[in-house]
Amino acid sequence: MLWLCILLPRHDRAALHNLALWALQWSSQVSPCMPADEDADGARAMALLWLEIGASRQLFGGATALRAHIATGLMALGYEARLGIAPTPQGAALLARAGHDEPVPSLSALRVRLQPLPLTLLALTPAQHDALRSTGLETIGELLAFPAAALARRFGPETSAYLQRLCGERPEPLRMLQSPPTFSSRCEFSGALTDTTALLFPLQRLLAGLQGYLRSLDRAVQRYTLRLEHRGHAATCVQIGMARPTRAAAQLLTLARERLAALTLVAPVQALGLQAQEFLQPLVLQMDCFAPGIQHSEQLQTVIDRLVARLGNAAVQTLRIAADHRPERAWSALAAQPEYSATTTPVTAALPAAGARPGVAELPSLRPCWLLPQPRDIDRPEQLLAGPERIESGWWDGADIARDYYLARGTAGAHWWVYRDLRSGAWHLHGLWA
Amino acid sequence: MSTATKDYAELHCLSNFSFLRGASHPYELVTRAHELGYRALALTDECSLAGVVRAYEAARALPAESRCRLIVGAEFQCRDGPRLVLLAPEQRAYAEICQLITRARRRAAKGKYEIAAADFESGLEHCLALWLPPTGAALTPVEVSTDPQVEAQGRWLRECFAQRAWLAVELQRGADDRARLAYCLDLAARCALPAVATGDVHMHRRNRRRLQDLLTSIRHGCTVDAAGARLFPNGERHLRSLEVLARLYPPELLAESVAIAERCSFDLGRLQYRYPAELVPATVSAGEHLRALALKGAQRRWPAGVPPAVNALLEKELLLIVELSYEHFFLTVHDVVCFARSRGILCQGRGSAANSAVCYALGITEVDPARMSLLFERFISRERREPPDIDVDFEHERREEVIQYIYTKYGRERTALAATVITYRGRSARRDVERALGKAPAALREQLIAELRGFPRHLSQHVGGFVISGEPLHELVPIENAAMPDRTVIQWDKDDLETLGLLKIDVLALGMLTAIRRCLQFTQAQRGWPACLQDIPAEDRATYDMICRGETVGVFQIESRAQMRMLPRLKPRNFYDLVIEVAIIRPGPIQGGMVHPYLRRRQDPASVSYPSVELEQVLRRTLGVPIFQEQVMQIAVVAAGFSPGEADQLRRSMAAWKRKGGLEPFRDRLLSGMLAKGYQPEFAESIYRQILGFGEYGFPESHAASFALLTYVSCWLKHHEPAAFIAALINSQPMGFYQPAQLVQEARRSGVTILPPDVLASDWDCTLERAADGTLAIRIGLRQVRSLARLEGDRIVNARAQRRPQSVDELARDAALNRATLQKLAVAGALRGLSQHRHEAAWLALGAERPVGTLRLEAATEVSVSLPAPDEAQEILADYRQLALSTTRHPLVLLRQRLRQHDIRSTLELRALADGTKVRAAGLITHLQQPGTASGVVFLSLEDETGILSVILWPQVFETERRAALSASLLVVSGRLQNREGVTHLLAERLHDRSGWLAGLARRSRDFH
Repeated sequence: MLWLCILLPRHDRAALHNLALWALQWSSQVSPCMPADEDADGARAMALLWLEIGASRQLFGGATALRAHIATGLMALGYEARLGIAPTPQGAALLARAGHDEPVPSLSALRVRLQPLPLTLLALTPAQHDALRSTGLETIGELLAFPAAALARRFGPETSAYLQRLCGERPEPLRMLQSPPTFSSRCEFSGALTDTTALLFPLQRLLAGLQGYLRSLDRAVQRYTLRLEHRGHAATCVQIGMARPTRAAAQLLTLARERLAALTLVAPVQALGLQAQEFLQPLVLQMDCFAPGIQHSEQLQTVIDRLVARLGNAAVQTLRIAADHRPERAWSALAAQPEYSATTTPVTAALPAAGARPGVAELPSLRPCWLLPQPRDIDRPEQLLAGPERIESGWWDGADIARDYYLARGTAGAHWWVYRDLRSGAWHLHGLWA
Repeated sequence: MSTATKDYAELHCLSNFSFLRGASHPYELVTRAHELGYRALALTDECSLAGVVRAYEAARALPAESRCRLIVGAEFQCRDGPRLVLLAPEQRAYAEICQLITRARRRAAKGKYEIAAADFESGLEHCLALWLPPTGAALTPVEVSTDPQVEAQGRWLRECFAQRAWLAVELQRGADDRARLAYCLDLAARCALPAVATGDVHMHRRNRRRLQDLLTSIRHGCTVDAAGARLFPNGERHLRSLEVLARLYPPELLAESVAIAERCSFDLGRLQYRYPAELVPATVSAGEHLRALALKGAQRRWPAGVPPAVNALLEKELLLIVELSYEHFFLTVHDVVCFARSRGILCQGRGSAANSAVCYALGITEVDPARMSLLFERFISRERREPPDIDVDFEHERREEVIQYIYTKYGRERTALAATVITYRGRSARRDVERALGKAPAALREQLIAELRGFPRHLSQHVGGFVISGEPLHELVPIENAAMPDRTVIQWDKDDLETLGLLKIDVLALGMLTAIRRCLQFTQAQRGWPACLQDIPAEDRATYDMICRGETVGVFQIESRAQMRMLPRLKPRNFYDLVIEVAIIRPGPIQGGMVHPYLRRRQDPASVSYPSVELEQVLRRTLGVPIFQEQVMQIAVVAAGFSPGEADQLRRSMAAWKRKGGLEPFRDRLLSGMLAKGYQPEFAESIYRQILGFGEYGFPESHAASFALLTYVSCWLKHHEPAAFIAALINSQPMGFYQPAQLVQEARRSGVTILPPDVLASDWDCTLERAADGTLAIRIGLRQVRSLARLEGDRIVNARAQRRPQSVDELARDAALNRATLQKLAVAGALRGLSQHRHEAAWLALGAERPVGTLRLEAATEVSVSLPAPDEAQEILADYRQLALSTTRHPLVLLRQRLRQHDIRSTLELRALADGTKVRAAGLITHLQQPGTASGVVFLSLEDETGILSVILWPQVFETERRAALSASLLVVSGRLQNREGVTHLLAERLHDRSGWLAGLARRSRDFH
């Protein structure tokens, strides 16, 4: 057995998965390993990918040549990875951490190699490292000189078990990646991408994963799906098909580039997924033809939803009362579908429960049902029937008002809701009672 | 409209002591109500009387003949319905309200209250009640007239308060005031209650509406934008003019308000307050008792006979005390001090009254009046009727014992802490305004921040001001819960107490007293002397020499960087110089520009001159420069013709002007008074400036004297007993300005040997050991071992007393220590007696047996190992990591060679260089401070093996070098040296984080490849 360890300083589960798929082209035994806990630091914060290369190295011209292949591949994909090769997985990982990428072929050579290395390279907990430091020991060689029992007693059985795994005196339990029947890989972005050209780099990595996967199976693909995930929007799916099956990442990328260039993004992209199910394997394709169609049962839709669908969002409105003393802000017509915000409440919900809602509890009731879109300048009405109701509010948003509202008798005996602006003294008609 | 109808008393008014509701200060409300010609104003904060004394103070300042009277009351919202206002027509009613508020507050968490309708059904035989019937849009006349619950509330109130209940009609130009009025009158008729007009006032003027909206939003934790209907629809809830009110309300409702006000004759100024009587034996009067105690104490102070001058002073003071009925106050302080003394708790009084012959005789203070005769110009003033001022400092670790004694002795009913009103400061005001305003224009935001500043935010407990009363306190003032369990505070702060002439005793905590007591215990045990404060010889020359050299790390008051810089210039040579030293390096005198004039005069006595003969009297002792609060007041009297009472007003306004302004009238009086007496305007202006500077920091001579005594004592101990003093300081941590690491360095510089912690030799605290040459060495205590629990430390000391452990395993068993604890001890180097070295100790600790229940099978088979011994660098770094100090040398010793290669000088070398030299220095950062007074300048203390260097960073340097300044453990500073008058600092230009050099020390050089 000979293990090659790829050490990734940034740990991202999706990327590691994709890289593991990519690595299948070099070895059938691939084991990805995420750090055990999020708070881990130092050596334990690294993501690891182990490849058993004892069986396959000759195919690629020996361990050193294989390491060079892999290193080149990783660099092309933009990964800053470090590599180590040793007869034990922990040994390979430790050498990778130490920055020694020269393959160490045997257990005895490994022991020699480890001798002068500092204890800080060991994958131990901070508490275990503290304990080790307190004894003044500095190199792995010094530590390995002690009997296992003495170490176990002081630094815990986990520590001595780890040292035994490191030196190949105890097997390493690894979970191997099972080659999946279909390909699915995904890449999340720390910030949303707004430009499709920015998708090409992550896509290149995903396609490299696909290519490695296809190579391991000795298959090709004729069609794959890109899934552009957005926040608050359904994902955009892009089907990319080819005239002839291929597994060359470059070719796969060319087609995708064209499709993406023509695409208008509905929203920024949060993540990119790549799926491929149909490989050049005739039986699978046939089976697909007989797959039962999915019956979409019609969802029950509200009347509003149907209307919105038919008439468009802007055409369907609902009345809201907002908690604001300014009459023109106190209610408004709103599109039927936007999300409820903290300050607006549908009329129908607010009225019966008014008492329970602090925001709308004390709205005055003596107001007309119909407000003019714009208050209209008028002369002082001759007959003021009730009032004044003084409203002074809104200084914080640039629409400050200071008004005395009255109920007035207007022309033709109509009831007018009028106000006198306290600053200018001018009179305005603001509403009518039907 | 006749003038008779234009008469009104506002009976429902909230100040900003209804926190986050009222938008005006009490004095603003009172003053405005008076301007508007209101007959009276009731301050009715929500379940609180916290603002009434301030309102009372403002009302008292109004011209007596036309004064708007102040009525005391409170508003309550019951958990189960009714909302009402209670007013106090007389003292009994006032006591009832205090009790009610106390009950409601005591059963709720700090800052909250809880009250139910049932609470009003008894115990309120004398209060007047105003019912605030439910309002709001839901209650249109039609709906309400059919609401049986509302009417039931009204009837309930009538039953509870019989002829003392009204329905309050509040018209705010709402949606339909006419209908609301009709409804209220109808409701009143049906409940058979008279109606009265009230205003639900939340602000003194309409222009506080924005602030009121803002407060509402802060209260609800939302933005103004989102506050919606929780805001008032308009700004009508201010004190409205009589004309406006006459248009809104029927005349009979306004007249009723005046009629109610006429019934209220209670005056806060006539509050009856009695001191606890139990301290006086039944057979004698309080005055006789105090006199007997004072004379007995004087005999003790002067065993050879009391000097006649002191005797005369005593008699004079006793006479004055009795005349002003302050005997109980002195007796109470004496009792508390006696308790402390009986428990061996060191304490000292300070304040004007503390530095009296009576207090010296009673043992309240140690400042000998014979030694300090200059000071007794402000004992208690007959004219000013100002209550005596005594603060008593106790050892900080044992003050709680004193507090518990007071609670036990007088009972919780009669004892409570004074409140401290926490107000909005610049930063908190900005935070809350920004949070509530969101994206409002900057100008508007700044305006509101300015308005909000100084608004009370909540009540907190005063650091130690106790009010003790003969009667249950809750009849005098409401009591509420403090944050600490079992602590209660009254709703008034120390200014309120002073306004009303209530006496409080300040029971304060002082770390230096703890350290001095410990130090005296050491010296007494080691040498038998000195054993108490009185043993310390006065005016010791060597002590002053040390002070003049600025070697004051760890001593009281003059240990700060600013103080240490001044000492070589000011050169204090006697006790009074120290009194000045303590007072002068403070924001007040600094802001008043008094430091340098004083310094100049001190260096050149020929330059001392006095503006006048009268002022020479006042200022001679400070070389013509006013330094103390007392002097400023005396100047006002002597030079500007103030009466003593006015001068006292001035003193109190000084303390408050930042909060509420109001010093301008004094400025005019002061300037015109001084000009009239022929003083130069510049001098008058500088006096006024100093008054402003004194503001919140004004330092009275009487306090400075008591502090200076502790300064002198601590300096004497540091000079003559450095080992005992530093050990005592470390044992009293946390306190003071310096960390154990610097204190240990200081001890080493004084020639004291530092012995490392050792489980075979150390106690929990640091101890003194006598070295072969007879000198004392400090044995570092186990308390310094990082995160070692006190209990574990004690177990080690106890186990060792039984049997000296021979091995780490034995220690683990005997003291029941687990492996983690052993590990801490090992890394701290405390297992040195049981191992070859630290590394082996850690190995042994890690391998130690579990103390209980483990068979000892493996131990026998363990082979002995040999581990590399740590080198000095590893030892020092482990010390720092685990002890926070170095038991051997300073870490920079090890780096010195490397530092030299980088042209970095030691602090000692820098002292010898010329002023203005460009240099580089390096050290550990021990302090980083940005004093508010020095306009953004940052001061940094850099410690190396030769001393501590002051580094000054201008704001722009600090901004660019912030990261290094805040995060480096080893800092290299390049800059220009300032070396003047024996004071050295470095004006920084660049900072470099060189922490890596320190860390690198730990690594053995080794080829890892």
